[in-house]
Amino acid sequence: MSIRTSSRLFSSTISRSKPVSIVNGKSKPLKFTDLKTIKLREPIIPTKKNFDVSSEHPLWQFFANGSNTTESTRSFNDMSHGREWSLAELRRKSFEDLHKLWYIVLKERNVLAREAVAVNGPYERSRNAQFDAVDQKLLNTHKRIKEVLLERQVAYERVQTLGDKQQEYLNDFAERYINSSNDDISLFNEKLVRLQYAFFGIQPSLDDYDLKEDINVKFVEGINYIANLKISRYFKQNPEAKESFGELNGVKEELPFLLYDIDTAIQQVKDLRASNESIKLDKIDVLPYLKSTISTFIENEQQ
Amino acid sequence: MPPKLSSEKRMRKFLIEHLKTRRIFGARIAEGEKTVKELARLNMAPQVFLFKNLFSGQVLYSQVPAYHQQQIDEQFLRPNWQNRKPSRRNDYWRIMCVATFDNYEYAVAAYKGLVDLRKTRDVVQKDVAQSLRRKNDDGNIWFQGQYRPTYTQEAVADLAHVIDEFELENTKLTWENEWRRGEDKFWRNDLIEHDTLPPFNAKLQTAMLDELRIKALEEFGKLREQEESKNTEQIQQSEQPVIA
Repeated sequence: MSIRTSSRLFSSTISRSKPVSIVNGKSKPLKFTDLKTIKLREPIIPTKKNFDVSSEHPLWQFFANGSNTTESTRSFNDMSHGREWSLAELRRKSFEDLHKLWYIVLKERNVLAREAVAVNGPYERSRNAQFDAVDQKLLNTHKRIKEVLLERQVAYERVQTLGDKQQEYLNDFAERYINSSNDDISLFNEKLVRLQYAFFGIQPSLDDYDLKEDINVKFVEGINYIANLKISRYFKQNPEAKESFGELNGVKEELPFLLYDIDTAIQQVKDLRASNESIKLDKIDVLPYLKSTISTFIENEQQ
Repeated sequence: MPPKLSSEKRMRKFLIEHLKTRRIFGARIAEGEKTVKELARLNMAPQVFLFKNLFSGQVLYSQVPAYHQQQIDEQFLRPNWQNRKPSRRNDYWRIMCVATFDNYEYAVAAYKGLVDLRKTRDVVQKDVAQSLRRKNDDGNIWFQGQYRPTYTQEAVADLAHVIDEFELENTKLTWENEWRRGEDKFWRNDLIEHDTLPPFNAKLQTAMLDELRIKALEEFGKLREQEESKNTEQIQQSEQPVIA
């Protein structure tokens, strides 16, 4: 036996013997003896059981069912998909409703976009025709909301450029308003709200009032127009009241017609006259009076 | 252009050789396998660091809070199209788990055990390892882009395997994400304590790991002191004359 063979034999006997280390006074095998006999373990799958996620975590909004989500994507049947909103429907909605609707649709589009990535993979464009169809409906709704808002802006701007025709239009509207029947009055009132915003900048909702900016000369003109319009219609229906009531005397008597309905407003004017508080204000006092009265009214409403 | 002088050519050759020696292959502290003595000399705690590759999902083991090309060459022995040799780029590797052991012997044994298990999976028992992996419809390892989650999951299984096999008591595993450690049935509660890494940003990963090393080192030093004081007490007691 050569020296080389003997040394190889020696080293092989060493590697076969179980390596044992003495640590902390205990003897332990701290090495794998034979790699061929190791029983490999299955990969350990991560689990979400190890931690809690708040059900109010904002990222849940990317899932249709929020924190109750069990699957990463919905099946097409689970998706509640109807038709898109039509222009005619959207035109009837207020700004607040459109604002809410915009964000509801946006959220839904985000959920869909996340699901499309889960289905198609990160580097692929959407290949799922059904997802695309739903997304297209939502996109159309978005486009129409923009279109409605644009229409309103255009209408507002057009009114500003009407010039001499403004008065003509206002007179025409007043005539139609005064002669309207009881069935049509609610429609006309809605129209009046839009008109007062377009012509005089009077916001439809009390919450939107910016007391510093919005209450100006135009606003005073608007109150005058609205009050006369409403009282004229009232006199047309109750001719006997006209002589005893007389004409409205300045801003103090006109303001109730903007804030209250016609019967309450008339009662308030009567109370004012009874208590001798109905004075025609000097021009310099008009705007401060309106600001203080409207702000107290808004506070009372909120309470 | 005038022809180059032979001295210029020689100089250029010398410069290229010099540039080759200047190439950086990673943190020099991570180069080479560390023994118990070396770990203590380098002021390292008895720890093993598991880095995961964000691009491919592969895992790199290291005895120090850094890595070197040599470790990558050593731990990815049979690269193929499904298990490519990963790049050393430092934006790819994020810490997945820091295993702190009771002593240096355990830390060295665990590191060697992990490397052995990797070799077993890649070379010795290739087919067995492949049979345990989740496949896609084509029969290849499941992937998304270049990412194969099975490699990370295998590393976690191997870590549990090593701790069980060598019975490494008083081990503390600090996870980047608790999610990764899987269900509790895979871990022996008498040996292991789980914890979570503090939230960190990629830029400060090395600083955070170094802080962990210093903390572990301090705790280890305290334990050693306690043991030594116990030993001296025992010796003193045994040396006291027995009064009959």
